[in-house]
Amino acid sequence: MRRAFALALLALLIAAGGGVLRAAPPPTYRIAGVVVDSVTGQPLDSAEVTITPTTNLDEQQTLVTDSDGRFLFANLPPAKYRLSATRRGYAPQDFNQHEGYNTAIVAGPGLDSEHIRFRLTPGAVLTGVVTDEYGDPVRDAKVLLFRQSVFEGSRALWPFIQATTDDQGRYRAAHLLPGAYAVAVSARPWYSASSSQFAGGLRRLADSLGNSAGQFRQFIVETQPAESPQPASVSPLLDVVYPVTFFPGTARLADAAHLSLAAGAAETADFQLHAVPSLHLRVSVPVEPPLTVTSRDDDGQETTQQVESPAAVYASLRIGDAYTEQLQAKSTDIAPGIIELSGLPPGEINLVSTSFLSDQKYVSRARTLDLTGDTAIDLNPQGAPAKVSGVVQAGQFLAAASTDESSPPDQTSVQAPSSLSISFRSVASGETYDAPVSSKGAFSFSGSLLPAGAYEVDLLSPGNLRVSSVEATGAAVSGRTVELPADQPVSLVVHTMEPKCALAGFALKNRKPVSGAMVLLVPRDSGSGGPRYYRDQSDSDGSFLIGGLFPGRYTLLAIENGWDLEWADPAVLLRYLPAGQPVEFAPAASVRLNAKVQD
Amino acid sequence: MPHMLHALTPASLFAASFLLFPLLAHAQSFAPPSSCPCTLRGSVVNAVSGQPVARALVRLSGDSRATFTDSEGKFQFNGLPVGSFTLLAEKPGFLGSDSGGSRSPVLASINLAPDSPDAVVKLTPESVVFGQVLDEKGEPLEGFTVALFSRNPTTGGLFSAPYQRFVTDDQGKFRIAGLFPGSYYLAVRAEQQPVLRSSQKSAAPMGFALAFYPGVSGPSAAVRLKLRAGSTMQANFSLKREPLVQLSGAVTGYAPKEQVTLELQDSSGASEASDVIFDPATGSFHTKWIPPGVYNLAAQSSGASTGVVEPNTGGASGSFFLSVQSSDVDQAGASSRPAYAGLHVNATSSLSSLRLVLQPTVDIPIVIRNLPAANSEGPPSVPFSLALVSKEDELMGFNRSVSAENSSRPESSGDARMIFSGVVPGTYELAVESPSGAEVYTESAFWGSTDLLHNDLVLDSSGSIPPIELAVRDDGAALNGAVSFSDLPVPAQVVLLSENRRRPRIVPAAPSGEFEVSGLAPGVYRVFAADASAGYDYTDPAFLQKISSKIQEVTLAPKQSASITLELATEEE
Repeated sequence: MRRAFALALLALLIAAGGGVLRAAPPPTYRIAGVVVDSVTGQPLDSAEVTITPTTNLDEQQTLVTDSDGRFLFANLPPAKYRLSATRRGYAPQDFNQHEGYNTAIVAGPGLDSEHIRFRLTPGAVLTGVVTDEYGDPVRDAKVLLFRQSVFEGSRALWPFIQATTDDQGRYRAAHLLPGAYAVAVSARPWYSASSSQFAGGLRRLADSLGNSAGQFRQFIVETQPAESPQPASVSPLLDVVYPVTFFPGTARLADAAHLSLAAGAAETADFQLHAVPSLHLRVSVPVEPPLTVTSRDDDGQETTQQVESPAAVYASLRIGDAYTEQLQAKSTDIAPGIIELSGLPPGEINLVSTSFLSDQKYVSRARTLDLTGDTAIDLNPQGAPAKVSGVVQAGQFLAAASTDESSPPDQTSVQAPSSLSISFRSVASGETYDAPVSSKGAFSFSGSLLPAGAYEVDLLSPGNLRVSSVEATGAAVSGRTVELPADQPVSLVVHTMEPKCALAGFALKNRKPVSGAMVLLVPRDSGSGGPRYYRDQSDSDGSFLIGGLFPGRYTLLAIENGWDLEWADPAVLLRYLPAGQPVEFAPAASVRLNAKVQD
Repeated sequence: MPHMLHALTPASLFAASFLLFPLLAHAQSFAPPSSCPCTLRGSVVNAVSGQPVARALVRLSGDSRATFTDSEGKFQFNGLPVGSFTLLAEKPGFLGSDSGGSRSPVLASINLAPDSPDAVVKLTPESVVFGQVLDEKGEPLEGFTVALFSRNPTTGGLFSAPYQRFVTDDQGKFRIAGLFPGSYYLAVRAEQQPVLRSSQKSAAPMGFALAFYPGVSGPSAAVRLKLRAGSTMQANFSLKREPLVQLSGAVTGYAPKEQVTLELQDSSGASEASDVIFDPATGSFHTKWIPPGVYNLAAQSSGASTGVVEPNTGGASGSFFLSVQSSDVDQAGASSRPAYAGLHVNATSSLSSLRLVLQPTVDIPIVIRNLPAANSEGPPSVPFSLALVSKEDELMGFNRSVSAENSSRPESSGDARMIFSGVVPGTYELAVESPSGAEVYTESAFWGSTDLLHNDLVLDSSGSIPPIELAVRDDGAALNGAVSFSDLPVPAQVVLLSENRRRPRIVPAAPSGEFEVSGLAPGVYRVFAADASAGYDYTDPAFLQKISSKIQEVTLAPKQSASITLELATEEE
């Protein structure tokens, strides 16, 4: 089963559990077994074993194992229980845990839940010291551990855990699963001049902008040019950064050493960081017309003022394949439409610029670049802009969201932003352009930013809303891809779908249930909403349950010992697909289907 | 809550006390400088050891120039004109000028002339507390929260809100750096009780009680850790498993539709909303298994208005209220007053049948007489703040206080009117907080026949509530002077103790050592100066005995202005 899904199931059961008869005392069941070291097989005493009913997290019980490593929970009502264990020197683990999945124990008639062998893996420890080129400790350095493992069907160095150095520059990462690790340090020189958190603040602002025009006004005030428009010069001594440093002292993950940590081992990895001149990135962005901002004082008096449309640029750094870190770059307005980011380390940078078209409308644009030296980039659109507006058909979602708002209704509610944004991803360049969706579903790219071209339409939604199809007036559409012409108004209707389908069943092999199998739901319509895979791990009775599915057509697979399979590789998946079972979900459908387990 | 929070910003003045500039005094006596460019030379040293500080960053304010000290702690800036400059110096491991910011360099003013001697900037090294939390078998306890508290020297309250929190690692270790010198208390708490029993049949599950250093259950027996600048102190905990307990009982005294909350706080002020299960429909409550210890149970009903009673726990964790949702609040019952019930329990074993009876809170009007007339129309402004500080909760690790608000009642005569609203029945001390430049003083404060300058206000909910009547005078005395330490001026807290005041009056002395206070009630004062960051309890007789040689007695007549010089009092003599 999947950990996060238990609560959703709980909600289902509460909804269904109308009348329970109370007659003779119901039969009770036991969960029992032994905890052993996964390496030596020795029974482990004093291990803490916890069972948690998956439908009632409050009924958690914990016991410690006796001198033979045994545990016994008695008098249990029939139910599905998550089983977990921990012990000093061992990583806390769920039973038969793989990634975020585990085998839950089902106690009930005809089920054996009393002969569990819980193999607990000893945790490894990595410690070290981070110093600068003068031998002084580096405090508050972030130490990132990447573990070579299969995750979401891909073998890669996945981010595993992070630690922070103390005042002596020391860090300690415990409870590490055995395996090969790459270790990186991300830190800033304590004397670095670009300690402004302005860029990070902007990111939050852009995220939350939809909800509060007040914050926007504050932002405008904060970005009013200072009395001297020239940026104060910074001593080159202080305009420095530490490049992200991989053990044993390289800038690239590809050159990083793989530290092999055996179960229960303790290793060290020390770092010495060397400051380098920070990189400067000059970004040209479109200058939007001035904004009219209306504010209301305490007495309800409205004042209207014209302010320059601020532009915001922020940067994040990719570290490894699957981790990005927000950069605390310093942002300086050089001239209208020109922003300089300083304090950037070399590396692969994600850059997002945001232009404000009104105090409740903005367009964000994202791009990736490999930064190796001081650079200027031009984010002004090349060629004629497209003119797109439209409406997102997400009535229920938007209605529910707008009733959550405790703010009083105001006359601009048609324009009031919702928590939803729409995203146009350029098929040619991969750049994305985001704009907010109003509480009535409306959106528009009326500014100068969005150039003509082919775009994939997507939604950025806290409720997992996705695009099911797009209709266009004035443009050609194929699936979610729309071809936007220049200087010609295009009107879109974006249809959406919600992940409200569920699949339940048993993983069976020769008609017998298989526990611990990987259950995989492979989408067959890669066009609608992009490919999305769903997984579960079968529980002790072979049962599985996958909720929160988008409607559509899928193939159901169950693979025994499939947890090291690199199924994200289509060639690997192709071996299993022919024996899979097709399944189709209508919106909000719940389907029962057993899975045939393959080897 | 006017003065409860001072202790949270220890020593903003303190670090500056080590910035001593012998050069300034001499520059004047020489012939005026002919001309510059000049070179500003100096060094950065450890204020405690006198050792040079290498790789410290030194900058000039208003200038982009920056340099690092060399291995001998020396630095220089060339080509400067004659004039005054501000130097900024910083280095990890040394304290900045305030405890809040990560980048708060120490400032120093320089008058530069061709023949200026070298500047010396002293940086105060930070202090560190580290330790290990082990169980009775010597096994490390991981994931336990270690909270650092500081004493509130102004109110005498035993603890203010947690200063910093840390979590033990897999070896049970913790380490807290970057501390200002001063006095601290440590408490360790299991965030998640490891409920350990070898079979389900064992009576009560076992867990760990809240422990104050060096291993005591309550704050009153806690031992103070005195950290000198640059010191590193070890504080280990050895905790024993004890049977956990359960509390149960009922809350009564509220109408069915009133919104009632019930909160359980331990003696460090921490509360866990999920620990209490409260059914407002029946009033019954019970706790989960919680460690034995002293707890405060507090039930509140907001009535119609928003609750004015604020448990001033102020913790970084915040206090969590188990809020009982009654979706449609009865607007007709809107006239009901906020009500409160508090119960201190020492739970050494499980307790049932606990009773909390909500009692209506009370509004106490305040009349302030003889205030100087305001310049324009309207009520005279009150030049001080008033608060009622609960005496009962003081030992519980959190202070509850009610601040006076301006009364909406119209003015008659020239008196000012204020109000304490939503006061919970109990015992309180009236706290009058005057700014150092105050022009008036409180001559008397009466509540009925109770003299509140010397006695507590004991409030029960029965009977009529007389107003608190304050009489002020504007013929106060003034005191000024200077504080020094080893013949050098230092910033400090100047403390004035009076027979006629229950709390000490505390005024800051500037980095030049100078201080000034006005609006003092005539009478006899015992005056001393202390380091603001040391965390002394100025009301502790033992402390006053230790520093008695540094205490000066002054008698002030009405409108008199007196001067004294004070030597910094330290306990370590």
